[in-house]
Amino acid sequence: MTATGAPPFQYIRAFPRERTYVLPALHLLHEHEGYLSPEGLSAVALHFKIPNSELYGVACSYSEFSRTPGKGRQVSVCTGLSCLLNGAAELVNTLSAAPARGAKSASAGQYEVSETPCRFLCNLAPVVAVDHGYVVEANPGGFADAIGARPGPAQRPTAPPSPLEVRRVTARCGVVDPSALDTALAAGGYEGLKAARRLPPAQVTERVSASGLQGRGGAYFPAGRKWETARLRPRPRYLVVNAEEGEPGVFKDRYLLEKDPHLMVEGLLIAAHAIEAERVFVYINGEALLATARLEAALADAKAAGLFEGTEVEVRRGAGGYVCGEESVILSSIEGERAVPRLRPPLPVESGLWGRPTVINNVETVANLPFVLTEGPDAFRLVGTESHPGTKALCLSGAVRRPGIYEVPLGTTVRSVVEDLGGGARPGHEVRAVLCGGPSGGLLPPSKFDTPLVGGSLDPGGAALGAGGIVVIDDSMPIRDVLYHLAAYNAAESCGKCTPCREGAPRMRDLIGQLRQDSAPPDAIDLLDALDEAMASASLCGLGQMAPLPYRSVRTHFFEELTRP
Amino acid sequence: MAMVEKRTVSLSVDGTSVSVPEAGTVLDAMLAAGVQVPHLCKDDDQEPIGACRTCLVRVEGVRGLPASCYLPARDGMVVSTSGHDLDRVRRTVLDLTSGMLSPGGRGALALAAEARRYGVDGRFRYGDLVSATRGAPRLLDDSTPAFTLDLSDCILCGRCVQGCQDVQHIGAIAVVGGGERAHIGAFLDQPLVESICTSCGTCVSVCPTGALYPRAFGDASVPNGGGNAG
Repeated sequence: MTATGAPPFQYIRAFPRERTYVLPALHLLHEHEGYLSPEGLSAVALHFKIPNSELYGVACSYSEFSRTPGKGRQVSVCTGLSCLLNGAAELVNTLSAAPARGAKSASAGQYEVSETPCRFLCNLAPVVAVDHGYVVEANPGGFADAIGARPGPAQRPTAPPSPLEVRRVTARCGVVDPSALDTALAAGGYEGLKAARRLPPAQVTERVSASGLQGRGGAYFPAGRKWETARLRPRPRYLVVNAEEGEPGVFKDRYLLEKDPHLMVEGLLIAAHAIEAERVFVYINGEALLATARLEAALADAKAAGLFEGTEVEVRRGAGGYVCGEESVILSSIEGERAVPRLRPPLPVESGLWGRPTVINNVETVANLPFVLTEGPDAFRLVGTESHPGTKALCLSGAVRRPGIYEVPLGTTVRSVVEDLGGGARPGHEVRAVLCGGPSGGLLPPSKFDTPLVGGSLDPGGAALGAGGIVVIDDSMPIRDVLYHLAAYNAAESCGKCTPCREGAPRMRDLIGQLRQDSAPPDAIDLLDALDEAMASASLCGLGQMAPLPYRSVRTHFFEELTRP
Repeated sequence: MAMVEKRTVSLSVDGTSVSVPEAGTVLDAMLAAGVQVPHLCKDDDQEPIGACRTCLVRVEGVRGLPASCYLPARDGMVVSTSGHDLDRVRRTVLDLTSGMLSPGGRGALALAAEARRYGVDGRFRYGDLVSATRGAPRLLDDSTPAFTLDLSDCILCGRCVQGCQDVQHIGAIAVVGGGERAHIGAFLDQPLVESICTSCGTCVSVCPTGALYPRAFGDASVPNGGGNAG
């Protein structure tokens, strides 16, 4: 603290002295300083009365925060799988080789080049982030000009509807003006909320249970049953909408929030009514800036229009890390703790935020609620399968002609998505596999493409529908390179809390790396199998348990490529 | 709260019937039954941490191998603490834990002794792939006069942090960083002597591997002869 002049970090002292505002305060500090400065961290620790070492531990568990001041403009090439399949490696080489990094172009100025996994614009690959803007479908030639133009947020295209699609949650995307409440109202917006509020909360819950709607974040747990469990517990209860969306290859929640934020706001208010939630949090990915801006505007407009009826809704931004999408990590994060999973039991519906019953629903789950309330549970079941009713927003990307968001009935086959909707392989190439379920899923070979896409495991190898990411892999990238990429990602994203994942994932990465370079020890497969078993059965959270699945799928379906060039 | 009768639950551990209080865990039942299973991160007197994953069990009707330290004991549970895949998985977890430790160091010796106690031989088959620095600026911190922290003997069980933050409410140390870079450290990764550590010794007393160990009185390298810091 300085003795003279205005006291620094006044903006931190503006927060209520409650630990739940630690992450918002760190975000604000990061925005002001460009990094988490030692003085700023001390100020946050002092304000919230948290020992500085403990606060440092919290801050360091969020990977998006920089702890050193940046130099100049930040150019980061996305090297997620879909971008790698679309020339990201070439982009990295070109940009890194440019003399004095940008000195060639006066308009670009000085910039630092780095690599990051997944910017969640996979259907627009390759993607380069320039400060907070994006260059999509980037071309190495003339890139300095693109940087100099200071790009803004990327606009996602809306594809013309296909007869194979059933658009429910995406019905108004590209149709309504996302910034105008009246266009949403004119298109039938908030009719589901009105219907819900005409019913007692228990009946809304019954309707959702009857529809068979399951969690669209990847677990496919019946949404109604989750609500019923929470409703058995005394109030106060809380609702958390999981908009963290941090799985590489998945970008549907951002799409929904950017194109039609009022649908989710309506769904959120329906869910809050059904479980009689005292407080609602939307926990959104810290880098989803456009989605956050549109969501916040939609919430403000809906509130001003009197649609909230007293419901308290707060938007909280995450700060990086795949693990931040794990539901118990969201709870820790909202409480101002380190971003590590909690022990289960108890489940969040039993004891969640501050020990109170807490329902955590994914954006897409919540976005399905207006349809259930306006059209009814039977109409909801008209598409999909008996065990998995309704639609799923799929995120198709990678080596495919027509990547994008496609909303299809559950039970649609992989082949139909890749070939009919996606147009199949790019000219002159051959599809070798699809990755279903991202780094927590597995590769599916073409012989399995008639598999219907439903919740749960799709294949003993590990492929799962999960949140709906489907990355098409062709002959331009060896299968073991794909596997190494996924294993390296899982090692980098391990939160470090439990031994099997923290120690197992890097060793899995290293052994796969040695196999890839034909320098592995003779017992490498035995060692990997033991790691697979231990991580899957002994890890603390779902992410650690699923981290070995890419390996298992390659071992099951591409064993020869794993052990031979 | 009104007085309530103290209830117990009965369960089977490796074929032995055992009763524990209703709020007890499966680990409590195992200890009551005299079953020896490693539980490196669970302090008998503290809340479970769930990090080391060595107290794994199999429970009939339950998927996977849950950690017994925070699994609530229920009436009629049938628990096994050994068996084919359970032994194999526990060994892999112990192998991975061994791989964190510098060979021949006090941590490795402590873990090997612990493993032997439970009938597991310590094999260091994942040891040679370890990344040693874990994002910490130094592995050895002997800046305080009272004790030494050697991260090459640390298994990141978190008991020291629990002792410092939850028991003593001091908060001089924390788990810093994630994944391979996770380590025990203080604010800005400064030496411990710069922290608010009071040399109370709680962390030293709960460390299962000797990564935190007291310095001898009369240690000539200690400026004030090994008294209290600050």
